[in-house]
Amino acid sequence: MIQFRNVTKVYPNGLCALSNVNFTIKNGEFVFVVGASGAGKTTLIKLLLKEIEPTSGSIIVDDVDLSSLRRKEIPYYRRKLGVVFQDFRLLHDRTVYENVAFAMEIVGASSKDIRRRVPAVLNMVGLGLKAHAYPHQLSGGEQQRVALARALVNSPSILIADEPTGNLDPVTAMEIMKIINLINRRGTTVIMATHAKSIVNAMRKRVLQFRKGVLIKDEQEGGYFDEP
Amino acid sequence: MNLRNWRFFIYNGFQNILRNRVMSLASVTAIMVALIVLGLMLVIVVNLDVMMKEMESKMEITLFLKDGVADSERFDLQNEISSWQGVYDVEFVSKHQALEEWKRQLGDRGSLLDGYTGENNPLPDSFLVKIEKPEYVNSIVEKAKAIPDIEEVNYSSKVAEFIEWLARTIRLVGMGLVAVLASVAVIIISNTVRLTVYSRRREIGIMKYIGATDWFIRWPFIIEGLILGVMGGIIATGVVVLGYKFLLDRSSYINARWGYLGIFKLLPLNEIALYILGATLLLGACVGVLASCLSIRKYLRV
Repeated sequence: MIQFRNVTKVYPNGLCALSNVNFTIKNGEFVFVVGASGAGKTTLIKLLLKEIEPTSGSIIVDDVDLSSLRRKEIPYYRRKLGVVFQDFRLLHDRTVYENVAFAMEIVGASSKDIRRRVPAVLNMVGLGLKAHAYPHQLSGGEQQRVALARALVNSPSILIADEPTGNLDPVTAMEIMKIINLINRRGTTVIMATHAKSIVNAMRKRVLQFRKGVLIKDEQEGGYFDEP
Repeated sequence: MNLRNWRFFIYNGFQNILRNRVMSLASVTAIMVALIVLGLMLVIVVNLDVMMKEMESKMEITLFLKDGVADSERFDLQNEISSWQGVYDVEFVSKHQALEEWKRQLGDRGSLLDGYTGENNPLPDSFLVKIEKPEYVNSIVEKAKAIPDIEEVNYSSKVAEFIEWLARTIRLVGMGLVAVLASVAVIIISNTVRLTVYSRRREIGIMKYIGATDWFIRWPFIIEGLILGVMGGIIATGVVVLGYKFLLDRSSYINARWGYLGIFKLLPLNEIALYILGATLLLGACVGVLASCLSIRKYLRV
């Protein structure tokens, strides 16, 4: 469960990115975080990753208040989260297989587990045959699948996606959404920041809509329409 | 941390070095120069130390007698000196023997001294006192000076003192020089590591998102510094040892000409090589790790 309680984030330059935000996301939910540029989507994701601290209020993930986490505990907290970004963030000098295996190496998995788990996850995202290709040999959609595989390989309970379809054409974007939806149906909580109206409206999931840092709509099976 | 992780760290450390070849080379050169100076200092100081010990162990005092000391008095005096603590042998050297010895040392030119034989001999009679341990020297010298029949006391402490002073000075200057050069090496290595941190910032960012611990991210950079330092140490040892071997090979020739001076005596290579290797590797490793830690602290806010 993820809870934002009266969360406000003011950047040092005075910009108020989130203002008194409250919401609760239950385990296994699929939530879109939507809004125009500057609405506060990225700030919300950075707060969840504990990359930045809220100015006031508290964020609670699985009964742990993030502000109580010590520096040393942050990596272990992040292992509960799988993250994908708009720009994929793959290591270009490693193959698809190595990129995914890397995530397991970091958490100290045994080579036996890595050999068993990586191909399974690559098959799940439909890249079983491209394991030994390098990122630059792949299309954008394929690169995002690698990123998804890497996010999922350590079986996180929460998947955080920041504009995962932002660099993809509509058809490819829908393929990525199918995979994310599949992951969600297997029990992973999904939080996806996006401004792609067509995707949000096609999926009919819970929508948190922000405008200038304020949560203006929290709707189950919601849509994302032009703001008046 | 398991073995797999260490393989990853070490592999990455080497990869960092190869990616940044020019700076890595500069780093190894810098640390190598500092360590060569350290090695040279060690070679000189260790040799001087041994030389000093050898001189002390061969400690001899020459007591020059006044003219006209009667034979019986001389025997009594010899017996008395023999009984002193720390003395293990007293040998009488007559003025005649002393002149012969001098002539022998002059070799071909010994005839120069022909006019001084017999009554004209200006040299005094003397006792050659051999001493068990250097710490007895001072008390023996004091006692000898108190005896009226003894004109002058001559002992080699001046040479020993000079060598000691030389060793101390070389050690001091050498250490200062090593410290300065090591600091330069620290700066250069930390710059190199900083460049690697910079070139890997994307990867570091990704590792952070995946949940890598701070130390997991730091280790490859520390190992990078360690490898640079150790490589500098190995090369420095090679240079110093080869140089020393070169000197040793020629020392037999030098000894053949001036060997009677008894000073130019170098320790064998095998006694000194491990010592140098150990010292340079240790300092190299320390400098390398220190340098990476500095740049990690400053530039790797993980």
